[in-house]
Amino acid sequence: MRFIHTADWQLGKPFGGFDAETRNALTEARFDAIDAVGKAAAAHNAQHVLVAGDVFDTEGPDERTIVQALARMERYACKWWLLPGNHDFARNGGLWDRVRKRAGGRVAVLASHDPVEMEDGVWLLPAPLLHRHMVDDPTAAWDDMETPGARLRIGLAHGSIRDFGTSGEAPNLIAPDRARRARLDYLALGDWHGHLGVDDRTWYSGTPETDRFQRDEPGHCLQVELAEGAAPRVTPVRTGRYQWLARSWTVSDAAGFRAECDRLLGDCTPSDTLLRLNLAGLVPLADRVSMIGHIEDDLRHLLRHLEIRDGDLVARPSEDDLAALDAEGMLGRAAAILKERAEAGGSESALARRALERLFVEIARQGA
Amino acid sequence: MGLVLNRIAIENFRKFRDRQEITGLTDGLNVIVEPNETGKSTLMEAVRAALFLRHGSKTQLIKSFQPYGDAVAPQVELDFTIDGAPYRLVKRFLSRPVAELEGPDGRQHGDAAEEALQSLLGFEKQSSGLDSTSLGTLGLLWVPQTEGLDLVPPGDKVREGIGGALEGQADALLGSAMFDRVRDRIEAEYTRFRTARAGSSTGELKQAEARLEEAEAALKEAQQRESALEAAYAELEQARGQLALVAGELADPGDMEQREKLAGDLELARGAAQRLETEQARHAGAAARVEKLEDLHRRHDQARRLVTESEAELKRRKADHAILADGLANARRKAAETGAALDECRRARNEARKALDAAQKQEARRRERADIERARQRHAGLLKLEEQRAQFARIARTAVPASAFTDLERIEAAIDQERAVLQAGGVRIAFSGSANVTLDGENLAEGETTLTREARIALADGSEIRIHPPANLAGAEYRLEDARARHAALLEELQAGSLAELRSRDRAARDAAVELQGIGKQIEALTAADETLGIAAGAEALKLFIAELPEGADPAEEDGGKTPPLPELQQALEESETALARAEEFNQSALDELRTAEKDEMAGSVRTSQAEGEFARGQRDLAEIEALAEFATLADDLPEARADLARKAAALEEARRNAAALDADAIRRRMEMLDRRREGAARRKAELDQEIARLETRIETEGGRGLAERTATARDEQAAAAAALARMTDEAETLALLRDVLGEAREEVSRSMVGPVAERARRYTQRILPGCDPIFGSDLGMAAIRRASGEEDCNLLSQGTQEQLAVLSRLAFAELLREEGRPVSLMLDDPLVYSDDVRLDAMIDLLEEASRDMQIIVLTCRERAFRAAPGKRLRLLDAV
Repeated sequence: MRFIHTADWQLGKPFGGFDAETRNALTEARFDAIDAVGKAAAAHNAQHVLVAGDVFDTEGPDERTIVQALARMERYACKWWLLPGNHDFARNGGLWDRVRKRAGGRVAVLASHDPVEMEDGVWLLPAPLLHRHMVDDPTAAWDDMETPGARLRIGLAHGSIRDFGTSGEAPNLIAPDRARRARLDYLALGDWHGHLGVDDRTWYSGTPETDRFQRDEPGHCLQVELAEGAAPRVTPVRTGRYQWLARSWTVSDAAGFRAECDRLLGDCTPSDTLLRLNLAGLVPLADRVSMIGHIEDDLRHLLRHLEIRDGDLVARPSEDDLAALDAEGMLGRAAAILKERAEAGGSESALARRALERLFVEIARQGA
Repeated sequence: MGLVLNRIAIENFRKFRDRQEITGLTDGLNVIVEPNETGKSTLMEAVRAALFLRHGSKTQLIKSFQPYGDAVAPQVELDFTIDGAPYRLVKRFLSRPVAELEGPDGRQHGDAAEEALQSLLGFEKQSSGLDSTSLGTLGLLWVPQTEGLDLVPPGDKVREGIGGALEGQADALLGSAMFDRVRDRIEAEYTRFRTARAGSSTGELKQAEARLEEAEAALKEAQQRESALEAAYAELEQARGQLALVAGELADPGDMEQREKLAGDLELARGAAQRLETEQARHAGAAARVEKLEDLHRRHDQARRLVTESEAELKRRKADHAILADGLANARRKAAETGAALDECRRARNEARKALDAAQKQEARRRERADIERARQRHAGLLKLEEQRAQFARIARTAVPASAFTDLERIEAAIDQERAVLQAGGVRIAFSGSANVTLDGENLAEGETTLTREARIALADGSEIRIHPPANLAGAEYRLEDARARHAALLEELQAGSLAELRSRDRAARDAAVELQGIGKQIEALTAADETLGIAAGAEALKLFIAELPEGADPAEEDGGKTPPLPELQQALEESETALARAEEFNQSALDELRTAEKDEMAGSVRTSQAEGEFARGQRDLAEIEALAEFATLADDLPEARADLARKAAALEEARRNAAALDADAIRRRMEMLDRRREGAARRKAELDQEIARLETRIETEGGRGLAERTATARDEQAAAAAALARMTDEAETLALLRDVLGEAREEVSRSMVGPVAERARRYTQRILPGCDPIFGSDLGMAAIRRASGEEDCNLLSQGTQEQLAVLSRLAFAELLREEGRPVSLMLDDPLVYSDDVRLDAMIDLLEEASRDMQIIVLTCRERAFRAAPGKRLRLLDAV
């Protein structure tokens, strides 16, 4: 028996911190991920797609988001089993009532804890979240849950495994040995955005399209093959388009910076890459000016999105820089004043440093 | 360092076709006075050309030096010293150009000479014309007529000199072009975010602020709507929970069972209540009978007790009354006795009083008689005194008035005087012999006689001698007679023989007057008032009293004149009074006792009657009760009735217990409560159904709008807008700081250079414009002057003042440059044309002062104005 395990689609996530173009692209990519999953199902001949929660980013998504999602799903022959997660928890009159009204026969909403026989002898045990935060383990009932004539028992849940990267106080905690205790052949989990095998029967599929700077790899879903009495065969399938890269570089000159840039660009598809770059180090002012030029004139245009954090990158005017300015009379004096303030420390020093840098940039520009 | 021009020679230069030479220029003030059109400006131009223009150059300017119509070579020769070192410069332009500089280090030609000159005087190579900004010190200090008014800033070379010398910042101002470009760029960048002046947000920053504001508003709105929806969800949840509770209540079977049981209980309760009423009535009847019998029994007891008690009381009262009656009799007797004693005392007292009165009257009469006798004696004394007084009064009346004495004495004095006159003026005749000689008929006695009037001495022989004393004696004689006559008349009038007699009389009269006064006083003392007899003071009153006394026997004889025994009588009266008072006291207390005894007796009598009444009533009541029919069987009936009541009470208690166990009202209340609760639940259910429907509708409507996603979007947008604004604010702050610092740097550098120039210029301008400070711009050009009233732009000053300031600022520069070791010399072409006489004199004074340190050459057409100027005076044309 084959199925696709996916989760954390987070449809309708706003990406407000990005420019409009990137925002649209990222939003669209999340819908595209449904296609990618559907295609993966078709490619691997899977009849079922289990979505382990957080299909939507909020409990109250825009109508368009619902319609888009359902329309994409309806394109594929498989059955989509949607589980409410903490972002899109189930409640009376809530989101899932809206989904049900619009859903066709290929989409099943698992808003109750009742087990469902997906196909002959294959039972699905859902643990939908009925509140954003649930104190009790939502999967606790499975241990005694009857599934008459079951060949395979598949658990579908959303939350953190206890002691798994969260503190004991966190909500929606799931026992780490739930698969064994509830005699599950496979436990499909959502909430963790990277794909991860907790044990050979317990898996997080991760999000199909990455949505934050957390890990380098693009989104995946899992293709799962189950057979009675055998360990599941789990294969990750890439579905994500964008790579979200976070880098921290400590540089000492423009050349070093340039080399790092080249290496990064060589390893990724720049147009599908979002980069958050933390720069630190002490560089000569002239190099700093050159780096700014490189970032603004090249890097920014190459990448899908670039976020520079250079608060820890200190541009230090060299003696040559200052000497060159000395000849400039009043400009030299201005530079000296700013340098003095930058070195004085205190709240104004960062501002003075930026102003000094700016002065050099302008002088360089005028000199050119 | 001084530059001193000693000689200027020009040839073929403009109007000077022939060689002209000015020699003898001194190192102080030189005034060259010539009318207009004489070539003063040309002279200056020639000097400038010789120094600054390259000999090989053929610019339009140089060509203009040729005299009109001639293709000759303009030539200028200059002799000058720099710090005493002599130089000679020869320069010829256009045809066969020459540059030749001869100095302490030898002679140089051509370009070498030009370059040596350039470095010697510190100017830049001139290209086409003369560029005053690159001419250095002398470009600034040699002022052509056309520039006389300009407050030109010094050129870079000069500023370089000044700045370099002062602060070692030679390039500070040279870099200003770059500085300006950078500053303009920063300014432009800054104004993308903030307005240049107020620094308020504009452009992108304003947009970013607007965006954030909008985003915040949108977020707030989205959050409000979302939380409203969330509240609706919560309310729905709550309403559903309540509905479940209410429905459960309505469906509860326990309530119905309870109600049925209560209905049964209610029936039982009604029966018990009826029984209770019956038992209560029976019990009340039994209780009434017992009460009645007990009452009878009690009354009989009371009557019996009353009889016994009142009998005893009566006995006691009677005994008491007897004692009181005895007391009364005693009291009456005693009162009678004391009354009699009192009467006796009163009579004795009256008699004693009568006797005393009689004695007192007798004594009074006796005293009156004594008084009258004294009055008589006083009267007799009075009469005697009055007689004396009459005598003295008579004598006193003979007193002579003082004027009479005065008159007499005066007359006697006149007599004496006249007599003396006669004696002195009389004719003294001495007669001796015995012949009968008569004088006026009388015999003349022997001896000396004085004749005061005509006299006839008849001699014996009958002859007569008439003697006439001096005629004036006749008057004296007459006056003497007159005086004697008056003297006699006055004495007669006063009835006195002589003055002595008169005096004696007068003395007696005055003594009598004194006596009179003494007698008057005696009379007064004698006739003092006698109040006892009612006689007023004065003699008349006494006399009247005596006159009115009746005639007859003296009453003193009636009682023999004895004095009665008054003290004894008085004492007898007092004793009888005391006895009377005591008797009254005894009588009073006897009467009081009697009254008390009477009252007590009366009370005792009343009490006895009361006790009698009481006793009678008791006997009557007892008889009445004992006569009643019930009384006969009372002893048997009462115990029986009491037993019956106890039985009835037990039955009542039981009925009461039964009735209390089933309280019909309580049961009814509980039933009503059950009914009400049920109704309330039904009503609440209906309400909840309605509420749930409302909330469901609302959730369906609002929930479909994707509020949560909108909120998330709005939140993201708000964060992004805030971040963008922060970035932009950062940028704006950076630019603002940079902008400020650039300004600061510029200000600082300018200050360091402007300061010394301004200080020197101030010393000069204060002389001409007291209280005014010149203000220099950062380019060292004088920009404004500051008066007490405020700053004034130089361009707005009068032409005269501008012109003076131009000269003064040049003096300041020259001084500064000289101190810095520059070769300085000030040449002014027709300066101060707009200055009034006062200012002109002050300016000439200043120039003279300054010329002590440097050469100053003034070219002027104003002969009269500079006539009094010190310094060496030269003529241009003299030299020809």
